[in-house]
Amino acid sequence: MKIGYLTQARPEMLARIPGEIPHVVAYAGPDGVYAPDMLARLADVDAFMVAAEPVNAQLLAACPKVKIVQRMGVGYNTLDLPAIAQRGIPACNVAGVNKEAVAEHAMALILALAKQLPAADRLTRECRWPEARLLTQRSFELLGKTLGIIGLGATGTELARRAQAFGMRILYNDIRTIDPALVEELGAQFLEKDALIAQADILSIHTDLNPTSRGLLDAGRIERMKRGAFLVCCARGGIVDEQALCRALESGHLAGAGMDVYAVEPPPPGHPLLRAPNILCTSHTAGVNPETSARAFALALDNVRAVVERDEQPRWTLNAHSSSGE
Amino acid sequence: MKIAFLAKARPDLAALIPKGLAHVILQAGPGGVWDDAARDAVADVDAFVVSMEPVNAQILAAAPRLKIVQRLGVGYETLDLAALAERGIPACNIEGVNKEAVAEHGMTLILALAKQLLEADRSTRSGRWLDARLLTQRTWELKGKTLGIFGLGNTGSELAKRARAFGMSVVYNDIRAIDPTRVQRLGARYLEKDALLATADIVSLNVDLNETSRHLINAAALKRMQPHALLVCCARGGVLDERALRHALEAGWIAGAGIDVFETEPILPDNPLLGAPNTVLTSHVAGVTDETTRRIFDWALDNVRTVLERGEKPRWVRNGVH
Repeated sequence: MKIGYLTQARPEMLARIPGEIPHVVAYAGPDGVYAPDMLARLADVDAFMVAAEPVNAQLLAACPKVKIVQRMGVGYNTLDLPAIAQRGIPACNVAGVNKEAVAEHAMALILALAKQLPAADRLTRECRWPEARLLTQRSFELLGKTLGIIGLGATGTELARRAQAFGMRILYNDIRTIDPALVEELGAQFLEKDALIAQADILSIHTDLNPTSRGLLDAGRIERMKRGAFLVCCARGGIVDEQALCRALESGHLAGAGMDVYAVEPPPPGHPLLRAPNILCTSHTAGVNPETSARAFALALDNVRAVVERDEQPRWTLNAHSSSGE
Repeated sequence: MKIAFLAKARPDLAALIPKGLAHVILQAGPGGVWDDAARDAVADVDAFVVSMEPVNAQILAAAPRLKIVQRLGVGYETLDLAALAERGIPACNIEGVNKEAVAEHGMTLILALAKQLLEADRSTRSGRWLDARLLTQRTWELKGKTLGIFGLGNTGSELAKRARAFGMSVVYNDIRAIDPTRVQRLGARYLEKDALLATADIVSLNVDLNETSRHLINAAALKRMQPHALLVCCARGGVLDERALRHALEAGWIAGAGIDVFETEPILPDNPLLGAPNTVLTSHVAGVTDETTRRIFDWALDNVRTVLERGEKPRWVRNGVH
């Protein structure tokens, strides 16, 4: 078995690759196109293990032996699923592997916004005590507030569990039907998107990026959010209209936002979102920490072995493939 | 009924005082000394409602009609309990009014430290994406970690409840015996102090400040903690030794600290925690939110009315006067 790791050659990624398995590392250019030398080195691999690199028709055509495309994380918007299905091979992620980490990160953003933490820390360090204390006029308790969750999947559910312990009222929307037993356990209530958006004190996005979620939170919906509400997104860039969000923060319509993902990553220097008032920004790290990443890698590798070495069905298949022998 | 509000200038407080309520707002001078004007102003008041000002023998002597001293908050170390007891005046605090807010603030500090949040935000917003990404090499999941709580009272219990929802184990230490049903409901486990310090990934201080808790966390205690561990304190300044904590952070005995309370408040530029690595500092605001400020005021005023208007016993008496 030989594995093609599709990843930027970052030390922390390379450190995780077990030396005993034959492998190569390759990555696409900034335009998403693989250079000829990259394709050449991948020509005889049996599997792709994918960080954030694209898997497209160009790459697949150059790698005739590939039997599985395996993401080392959860999102899969960089995979061309129809092209992979057409090859008759499975495209897989590691569903749910970082659901707790993402929910924790969303909660960290929510709490830091609610408590005005960056300003509170800065003013305290500058010994501007009365000003730091006056910030509390804009800080609030989560107790009794309404959290709106769009996308009650793995991470949305984990966030709801945590928010429930804070005494929050939980509203959700999902295009899929959610198990009623789970909804009841979470004390959550279904609302149509627009009603949910209008009622939430805090709105947190937990959908995949797909055609129904792209641009989901557009200018109109941001305007329909409650005045003084907060928006948090640890899902995928492209779901929230960033220009509209900036305007809503600048006008004071929204009291704050916590963003971990962006339409373009890294966001270009001078991106207005990075300088918007009352915003907290992190760099697509919600699901990333050493423990989670190690777990995701181990699960991804085992899934690859299941297909290439053990000839088993893989877990977490994302595409309707029909490989020979099925 | 006339009330003296003993409070530093707080526009938010003035806005909460009901119209028609006879009152004065007074502040102590440097060193907690009350000037003649303040002493004259309390000559006819029936109650003190106290923010952070001292209630000492000096001001008590000037208030012959005083029938109740009511704190606007939980702590009561600024009240001279013995002098009040001698006069037969109940000294009251408010219990449970901000337990959720304090627990929320504790969880905020814990998460901000675990996720390197403030540094991640600074790096991301200044365009240092890769630096921000590399911070994740030092970040954690709370799930599966152990939270050690000193003081499983109101705020400690609320913190435990939230930590459990994050999939954490909770161990606790308390000088009082805690109701076993509550312990069981919280899924908490008792540990001796030293065992708790050695076991916990995160230690949270939720005790009162009293003679048994002063410098509860000193150099020896910090030395027992794990090198990756975090310390959070939203209790009272004086519960931890700030110099020892500064040293522990610099020497790598522990990995980070989130501190809301200081031995001297307001914090002074020479505070040892300013400039210590991996800290998140706030200014004694854990229990203060828009909602709690109003709730504290309403509950405090109601307790005062209980005594002055209804002639009943007040709640939360701290000096044994009944």
